[in-house]
Amino acid sequence: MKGIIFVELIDFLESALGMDVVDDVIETANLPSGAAYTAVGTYPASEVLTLLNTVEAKVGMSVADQQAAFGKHLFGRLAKAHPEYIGSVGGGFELIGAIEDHIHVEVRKLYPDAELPSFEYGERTDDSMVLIYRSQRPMADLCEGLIRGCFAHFNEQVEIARENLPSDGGTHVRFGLKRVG
Amino acid sequence: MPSDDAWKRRLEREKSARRQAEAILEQKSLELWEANQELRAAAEQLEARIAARTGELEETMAALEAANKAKSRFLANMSHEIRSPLTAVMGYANLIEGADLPDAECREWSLALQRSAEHLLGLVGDILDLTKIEAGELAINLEPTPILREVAEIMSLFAAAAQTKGISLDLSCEGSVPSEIHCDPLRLRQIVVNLLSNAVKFTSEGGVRVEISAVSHDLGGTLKIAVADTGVGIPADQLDTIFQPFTQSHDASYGGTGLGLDISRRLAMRLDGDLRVTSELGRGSTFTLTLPVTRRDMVSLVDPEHIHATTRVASRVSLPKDALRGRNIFVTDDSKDNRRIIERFLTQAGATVQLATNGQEALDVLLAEDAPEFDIVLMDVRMPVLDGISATRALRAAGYLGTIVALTADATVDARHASLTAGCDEYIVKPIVPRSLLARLDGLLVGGPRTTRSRTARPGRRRATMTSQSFGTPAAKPARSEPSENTSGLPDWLIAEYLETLRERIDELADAMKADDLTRIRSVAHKIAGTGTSYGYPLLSQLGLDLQSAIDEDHGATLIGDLCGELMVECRHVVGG
Repeated sequence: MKGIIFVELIDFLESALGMDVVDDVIETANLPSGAAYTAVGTYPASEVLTLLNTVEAKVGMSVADQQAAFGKHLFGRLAKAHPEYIGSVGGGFELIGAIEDHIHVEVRKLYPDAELPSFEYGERTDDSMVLIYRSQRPMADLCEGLIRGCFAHFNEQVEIARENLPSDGGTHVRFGLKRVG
Repeated sequence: MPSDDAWKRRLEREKSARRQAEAILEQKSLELWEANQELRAAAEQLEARIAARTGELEETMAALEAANKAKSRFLANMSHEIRSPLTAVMGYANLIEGADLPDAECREWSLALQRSAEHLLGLVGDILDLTKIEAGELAINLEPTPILREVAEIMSLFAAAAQTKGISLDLSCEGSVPSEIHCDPLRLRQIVVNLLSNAVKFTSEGGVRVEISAVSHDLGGTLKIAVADTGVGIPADQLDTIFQPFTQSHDASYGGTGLGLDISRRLAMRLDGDLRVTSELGRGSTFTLTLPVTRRDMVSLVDPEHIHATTRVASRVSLPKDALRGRNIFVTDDSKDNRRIIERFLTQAGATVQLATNGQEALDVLLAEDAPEFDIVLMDVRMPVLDGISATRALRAAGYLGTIVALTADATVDARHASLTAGCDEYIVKPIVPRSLLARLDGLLVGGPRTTRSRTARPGRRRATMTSQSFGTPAAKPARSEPSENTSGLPDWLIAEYLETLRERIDELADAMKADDLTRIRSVAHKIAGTGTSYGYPLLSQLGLDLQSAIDEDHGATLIGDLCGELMVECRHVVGG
């Protein structure tokens, strides 16, 4: 997983829990990288889960809640890092609709080794969309957090219906997105 | 506050992350550099391939150009070679025509033979011109050219044809036009002849109108010669192609080589002008030749109210059958055929003819103590034993003052220049067309028939060479003209303009003589020489040319002074003062 996620996660945890707690978590987690992350590096995705599990054990916040909150935070950071792209997009549905065929294509050009989740699109209208998320990692909550962050950024009220789909290992989730109000 | 240990560990993690980042960036930078190197190598390889391809193309191009040049050279050589036998064909056809054949059918055949030969000659001439233009070898000699006079004279050549077809032929001037422009009269003639010949050919009702006009601008002006006909016209989709070589009009039955317009346009461009066409099918075409006019040319304008040039050529075309009666002519030519043909023409026209087969024989006869007086010596250029150029030079060196006319199949400017500088008075290109040969000789023989020739000219004084200005109607020993006597066939107003200019020249000459300024004297002499013959004062041209060559050849102050005096006296005589 790309270093930017790890750097942002540590920042997020530090701002949420304070430096001492995060330092304690890192010491306890005993990660191969020692949690010395740089945005230009690449690290095992498992370290994210180890950190989140350790946080849950230390402070009682569930991994799912952590992922959802981090996802929202992460979207804001990514949006800030790519203002010209975000500025060119009309709204959340348009941006989410462009993940597979546009954003991921561009990401792969820059990072050929990136392991990206895949998205499929079901029925789509101006005000609704069905999104099928597939990943080797249990990170559907992070995905949902990102989606919420996205609509929040565009100031859009959207209802999210989430349904787990059968999978042979990995995560397979259907998100039903519907504009409200 | 976080504990010191937590800070320390945090610092360690940051340091470690920074080192990692540096290592990664170093690695990326190396990869970038390598990728860049590869790209550069690929670009260089590509450039090398392009250079190789370009080289190949250049070689191919050079080979094609060489092949094209070889083709042009071949065409030029062939054309040149074809001219010589054509002389014989046309000559004999002419003799047959003049032989009072009893059989009408035979006369028809002879006429057909002549027509074909003339057509062939036109074709050969066109091909020669085209190859010369393509090879960039076409020489352009700019000189003051009396434009109205030139055009009127060319038009008169077509008067008979127009009359036969029952169509009109008019010349008009719109506003003021320069009396002279700097132009190559030979090429101008070629273009206008081609345009008029087309116009007359394609018109069967109505007529052909030539309109001359000029517009001036800061840098001088533009002269327009528009040849408008009421003929068949050209379809719109062919207007672009008619200027391409070997492209004929839509109706091939009109004949022609298909080279004329291409040559005319290229010649116009070589003269820094252009040739354009507008046409309406069934209504007629207008070809407009534009030529640049210098600011100096724009100063001397003629302002004709409206002139109607009628034919002046009649006297030239229909020479009396015995135009050369009483004349004594010496013919030097190594070709037996040519000698016989020329002899027949000349004797038919009433001349007495003596023959020689090379330059040496000519020298032997002409320089002998008891040599008879010859009115004209016709001198072939290429001959065995002694060629015509060397023979002419030897004759002039020995003080021979008679008229010598070079005869050659070589139509190049160089050949003309060579014969004129050797001392020939005129230059005639083969094949010999009897009518025009007689007309040219008649032009050289101004004055009544005589059998003796004055030898009063200064011994050793070379005759002046003629410029092509007086090519058409030169005068070997021009008679003194009566003051203001209009013998030129030009409208009186044009002559009046000329005389006005001549008065200015007299003042210029007087000034230049007072200042002892040879350059200016020569320049005035050149101007006077260039126009005298055209306006009917051949002696002025002759004296101007004599003075010019005396200055060019550094003949000394006394002779130059004498000639200045003679020229001045004649100028004053002509203007009647």
